[in-house]
Amino acid sequence: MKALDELVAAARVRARRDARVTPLSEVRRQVSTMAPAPRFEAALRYAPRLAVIAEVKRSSPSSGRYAAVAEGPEAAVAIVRAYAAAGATAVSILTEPTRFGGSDVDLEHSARIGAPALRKDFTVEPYQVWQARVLGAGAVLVIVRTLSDAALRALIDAAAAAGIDALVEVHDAADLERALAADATLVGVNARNLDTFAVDREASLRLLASARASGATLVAESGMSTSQDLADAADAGAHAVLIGTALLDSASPGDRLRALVAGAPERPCPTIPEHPRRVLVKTCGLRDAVGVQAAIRADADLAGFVMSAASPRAVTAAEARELASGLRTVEPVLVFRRPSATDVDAAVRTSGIDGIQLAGFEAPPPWLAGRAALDTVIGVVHRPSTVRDAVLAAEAWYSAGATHVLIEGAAIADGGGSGGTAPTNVVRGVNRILPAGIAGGLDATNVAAVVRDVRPAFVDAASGLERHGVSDPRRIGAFVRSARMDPAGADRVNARGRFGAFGGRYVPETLIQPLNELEAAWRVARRAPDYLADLRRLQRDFIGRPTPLFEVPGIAVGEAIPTGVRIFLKREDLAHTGAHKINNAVGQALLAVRMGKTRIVAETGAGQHGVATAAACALLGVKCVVFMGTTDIARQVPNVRRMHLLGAEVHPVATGNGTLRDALNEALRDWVTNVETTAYVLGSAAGPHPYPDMVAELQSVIGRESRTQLLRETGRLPDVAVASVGGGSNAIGLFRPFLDARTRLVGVEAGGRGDGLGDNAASLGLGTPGILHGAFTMLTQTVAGQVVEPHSISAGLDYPGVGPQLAALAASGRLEVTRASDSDAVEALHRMTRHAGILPALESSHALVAAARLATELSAGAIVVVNLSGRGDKDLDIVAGVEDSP
Amino acid sequence: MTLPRGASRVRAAFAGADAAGRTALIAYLVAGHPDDQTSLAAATAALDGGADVLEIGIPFSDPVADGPVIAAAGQAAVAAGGGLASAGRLIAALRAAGRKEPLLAMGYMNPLVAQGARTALDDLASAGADALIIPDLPAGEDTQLERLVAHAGLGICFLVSPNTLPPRVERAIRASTAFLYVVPLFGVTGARDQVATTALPFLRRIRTVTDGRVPVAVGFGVSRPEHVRELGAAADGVIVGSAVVAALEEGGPARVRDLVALLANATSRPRRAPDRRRRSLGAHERQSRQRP
Repeated sequence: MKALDELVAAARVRARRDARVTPLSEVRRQVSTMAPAPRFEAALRYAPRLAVIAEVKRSSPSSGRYAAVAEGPEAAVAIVRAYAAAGATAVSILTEPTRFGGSDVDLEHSARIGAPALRKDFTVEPYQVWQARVLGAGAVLVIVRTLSDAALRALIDAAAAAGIDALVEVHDAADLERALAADATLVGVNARNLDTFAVDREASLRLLASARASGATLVAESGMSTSQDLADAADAGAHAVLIGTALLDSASPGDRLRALVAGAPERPCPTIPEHPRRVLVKTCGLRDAVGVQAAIRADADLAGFVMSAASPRAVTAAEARELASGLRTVEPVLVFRRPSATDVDAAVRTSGIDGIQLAGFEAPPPWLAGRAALDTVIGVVHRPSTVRDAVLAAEAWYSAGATHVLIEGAAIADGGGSGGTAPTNVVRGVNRILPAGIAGGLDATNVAAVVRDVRPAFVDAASGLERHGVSDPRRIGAFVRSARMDPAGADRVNARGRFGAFGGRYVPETLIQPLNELEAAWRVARRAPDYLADLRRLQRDFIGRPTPLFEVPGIAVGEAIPTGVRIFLKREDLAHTGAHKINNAVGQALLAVRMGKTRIVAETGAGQHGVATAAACALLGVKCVVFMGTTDIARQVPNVRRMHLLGAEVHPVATGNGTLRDALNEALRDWVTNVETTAYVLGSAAGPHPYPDMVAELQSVIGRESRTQLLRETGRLPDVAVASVGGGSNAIGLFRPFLDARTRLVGVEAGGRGDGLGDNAASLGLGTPGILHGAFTMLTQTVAGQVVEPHSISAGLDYPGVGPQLAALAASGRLEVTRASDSDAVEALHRMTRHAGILPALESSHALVAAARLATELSAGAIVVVNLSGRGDKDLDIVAGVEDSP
Repeated sequence: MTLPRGASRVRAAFAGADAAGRTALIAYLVAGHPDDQTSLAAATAALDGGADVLEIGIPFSDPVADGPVIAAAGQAAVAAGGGLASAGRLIAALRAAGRKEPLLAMGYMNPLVAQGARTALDDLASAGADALIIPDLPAGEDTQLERLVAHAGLGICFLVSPNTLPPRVERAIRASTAFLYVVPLFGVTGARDQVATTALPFLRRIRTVTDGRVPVAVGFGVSRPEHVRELGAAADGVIVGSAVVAALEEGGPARVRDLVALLANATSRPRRAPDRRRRSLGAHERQSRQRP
């Protein structure tokens, strides 16, 4: 037992030492901002062939040093890359340093390659599990032999809480029994005895075979090197094999792996649908027009109509038809409890609804196979006691043709829909393996926490949407909104000024008090009747709001827009001063005056924010100083003239490259120096807290108006919202009010002249995390952390950073990011001008390019809204210049 | 809680100057400006000229807290390929040449965290740095980074300015392990003609509140012996930045040495009456009074 004991003790020492530097609370906080971990077990379980987990280690007690892996994380990364290219389903990375030559850094770097990674170490404390998660692992090794039952349970629970899989390693029948009793779903059978290092393949194959019935995902470990070995493991019931030595001993581990993968036997596996990108929301038990309307306005994904007569929420099939007629894109589902085939057929025929939910069955009814024509089939699994049982039941449903599986807290005998407890522990474990929804006592007050903690494929509620026994539109709206709250916190700023991991306040100390004062003043003003009245009046009469929503013919956007796809432009170009910048400038200038400031400084790139601020200052009688880079001054002369006419002082900034970021630096320096009298009106959704949140809120008038206008015009919310992204203010302004809807959000960055560093301004698409101008965000920068001057034909997108909320939304997947080149943007400008009589700014033209691209994948009836953030008069010279040049 | 090794070394330098009846003189230079060799010569010259502590600026592309002289120097150094690595090399070169004076790295967050803070801090510590000053890191904004700095054996200096409210001043005092950096004016780095009238009262107030828990050094705008004398009387140390960088640009390492020597001459101060509340600098035990 000695070698193993030593390794365990050393691991514990390591963990405790690491915890002193980075406490568990900090690790957990970091995890809370991360995207979900790669699904390790699911990759193995649902691979069409025996899956190979390829291992990287520098040495082992049994085999000595492996020459194939040099020192340093780059060596490990190179091997992992080769493994991924050679067809490894997953990888195993040793992080144990004393006998295996491993390190945490190896894992951290290797996990980024994309193949789900196992942290192979001697895990004895929950801290190590959380650490694995933060390093990017999808699974952690837990060796039964080294743990008590309580410790084993604690580690499996920690893995579930941290959102990764536990590979529970057993060597004999006693180990296996303990693993299964602890509800392990992923079991590794190690043919090697960890005390003697002896390998007994026969015994391990027998143990695998005995484990088959449990339904666990099985991995065969140790001692395999030939295709025959793989075949034997597959025959014994293994889903995957873990191979290290056989690969690392060979001259080219990648090639050796390729050969083994080629010979890996096929295995039957159920076809499991993909996890939805975001949790789906089902509002169940609707029985009146009020409820249905609320579901539409809230943009629910699914709406359930209860057919089982025993339920207080039952409606007839004919009533369901009536109610569903206005649903548009909300998917209707008829909810049954143990129906016969004829019941279902009749109801489907009468209601015209081809979605069903089947509760009350222990197993999928045989007649389901004959109903493949149905669009949606939700199979209900009732109160499973273990994750393994739930997974087996769910697989049975999917194999029988279900499109979704719902796990209910209610037992089979009880009626569902009446509240009861949602089986969160089980559903959490299940969703690591396959998509499953959860129901049971969910409502607006608890669903956000359940989504964050359990990561279900969908959430379902009935009684939680009612008040005094009838559908409550407020509760329905609140339920949908809460369910869709981003688990990583990207959709709202927290008390520390962060959106998920991004944001914050990295500024010189001198700015802390002014920022605190600004934050306090804003918190009051945004709810103050007098401020809001002034703001609304200026929005209406000075800015000219609401701006129109205008549908343009497809040809004005692209050549191949499919018929029936509707494209709407939100006309921020019609706002006073010709761009959306005025929304923010007026709001902040009004706030500055309210705070008693007599001087306002601003930075500007294209000049639009400078002009907008100068206009607001002229109206409000405040001195205005605008910092503008000399390069920008040269390419946006009309705006400079306008600012002068409006009475603003324009200070040219020649330092650095003379562009937006230098202007921002200089504006900050001025603010630092003149902080008592001066307000800084920041022009985009970037900068230190509270600017990103404040600017987003002021610009949200764009999205709020769009939402109302689209509902009125089309009866529903758009499928896609598109906006260009520089600092991100026009984008976040359009997107924020759609965050809780199903609308896809597409941000288009400046692709410039290419993907090379310095050829574009694609901080989200091509950049890396960093800190600039007070916020932790995404930057175009060198590896060493020097910010690189971006390039774009449009001055307004020419910023090396991006607003932190956009960085967070992109990281959590809510925001899709793409880019458009300089030349494509110019072409889009011409197209819109010629075919719709609207001259868009070059910035906005980038959004049009992306709209044209994505529209080709949409079908008739799809609705796209594009933020036409500004007019292009200021760009006439640039566009002419492009035409004149060869 | 014990002080990080580097912090203790910095405090010892302050204690040494105090014992010799002087205020400590801290000189600042941008690493790799105008080039690695001259930068090393200038740093050596500053130490030879009598600087007790040296701050080495990590060049960054966007130095928002710096005025024209330092910003330009930094950006030129970046253009020449400088950054965190070149600062580390300068520090290592000074150590290799046998310099024992405390060396601080002063730089913005981004170059420090770009390749992983832990690695960057370990590299700086092994190069021989003693402490860190990060102008765009307010105390408490990133407590994990503060932990990593201490774990690497480095001290840290937080800044306070005239509009920093008392709770934050207190926070900066508790979090600063090497010294407290007092900026007695509103603005960025850059030589000023005279010490602002509000500067001295502010400095004295901070010194009183600090009550000996950590050395207090004052900077931003210091360029002449008069400044050093005036501010030095009310502080444990005086920091000179832009003036040194400008001297280097005007007359090379020799001019740096001359300027520093001139300023060093102005650092002696009249013996103060003993204050029974004041504790001697460099007493590590004070730290155990701080909340972790």
